[in-house]
Amino acid sequence: MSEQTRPNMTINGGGSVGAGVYGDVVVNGAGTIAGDLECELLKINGAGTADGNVKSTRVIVNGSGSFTREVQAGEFVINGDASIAKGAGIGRLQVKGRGSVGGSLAATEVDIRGTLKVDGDTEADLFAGQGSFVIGGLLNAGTVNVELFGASAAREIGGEKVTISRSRHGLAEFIGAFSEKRLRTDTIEADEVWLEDTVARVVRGTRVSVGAGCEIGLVEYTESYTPAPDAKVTEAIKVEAG
Amino acid sequence: MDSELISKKELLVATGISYGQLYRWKRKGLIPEEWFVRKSTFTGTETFFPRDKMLGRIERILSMKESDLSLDAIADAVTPDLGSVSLSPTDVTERGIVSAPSLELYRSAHPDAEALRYGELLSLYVLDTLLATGEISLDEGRWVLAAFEEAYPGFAGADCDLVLVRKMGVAVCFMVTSSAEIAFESGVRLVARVNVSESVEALSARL
Repeated sequence: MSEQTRPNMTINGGGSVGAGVYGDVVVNGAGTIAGDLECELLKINGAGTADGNVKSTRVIVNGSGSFTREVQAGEFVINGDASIAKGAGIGRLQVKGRGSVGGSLAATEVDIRGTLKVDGDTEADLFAGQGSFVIGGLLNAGTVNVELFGASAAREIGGEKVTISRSRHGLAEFIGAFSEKRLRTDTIEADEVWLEDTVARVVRGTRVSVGAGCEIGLVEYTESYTPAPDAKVTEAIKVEAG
Repeated sequence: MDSELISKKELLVATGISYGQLYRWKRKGLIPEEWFVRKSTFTGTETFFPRDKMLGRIERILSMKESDLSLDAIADAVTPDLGSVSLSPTDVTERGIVSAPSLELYRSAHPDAEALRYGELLSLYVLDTLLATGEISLDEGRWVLAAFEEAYPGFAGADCDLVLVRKMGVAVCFMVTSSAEIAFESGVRLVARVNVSESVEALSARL
């Protein structure tokens, strides 16, 4: 599509943009996008609502963004708060603040500096950061590496390498003294599992390390198992590898 | 234990793959979402797979990996692009997708059908499923097919069922969403209720 047919659009103060194909769409203040939007850049400085599917190379939310349908984006940066109602496919998702996805999330990379909530499944090659997450379904990631700053949960976690660690950050420790900030999950299955502050029914892996603050019902490992002295593990068994 | 299913643990032992590989292949679309069947066991909820399909698929992926294909290339190879499917009527029976009488019936309704695309194959497959039950006549099959072709697009991909009922020898055919419960007056007999999503899956497996 040529440049002429991809106009830029800016809302200053308040207003709304019609559905369509744009270059850059910038909302300064409060704005609504009425219908499906396709653009190069969607930037919300203030409060924005997209009443339709959004397809954009980049989405940046500074403030608050509400997406009532699906979002497809190469990069999605949240500085503040954003909610996507019907699922998201994103190259790189960065959450500084709070992000929530109704439905499922598929991403290449998820970087959490805050909190992320996904109602359905979450898939990513890399799922990392410092913060908290609540995944309603399966978290399937090549690498999961999260330093817990708050109570987290996932129905199941599966992948190649899963690392869950207790925050050594002063502030998080301070907050942690007053609130539960463990990860609760039913099952973790991965080649390499390294855990702290995790409550799980069963953990299965090739090499499993269970550290401080963990409560695990059953550990099944094929190569090695390393428990910390204060880890609570009901049963650990070595199983045959294939 | 259901012998047609294999537990995730058994699968890993049988194939020698790791959890990491299994999850990566799922992420890359090498193993369909529907094959991951969650079932309650006495220790908790575990994941199972359709045994034959899953073992076949893993074997295929492993042999393709040995020939150094990328995961994306393998994904394309193992999951047929349904949009590009096009079969001639002879292919359809030769590959055992549907029975010859079903195809004949379909062709009598669509005499100019030379190449069957996915949507048409689905209609044909649903028709074949019903005829195979032995509960409907060829004549009824003709208008069941017409009813399906007319009503199915209206569900826009939502989970739906094709329902056939009969009272005093008169058959009535209609479509409902799968979650719908239907109650009939006495004397009405439910002849068949075919879930379209299951048919889509079964058909995809045969292509």
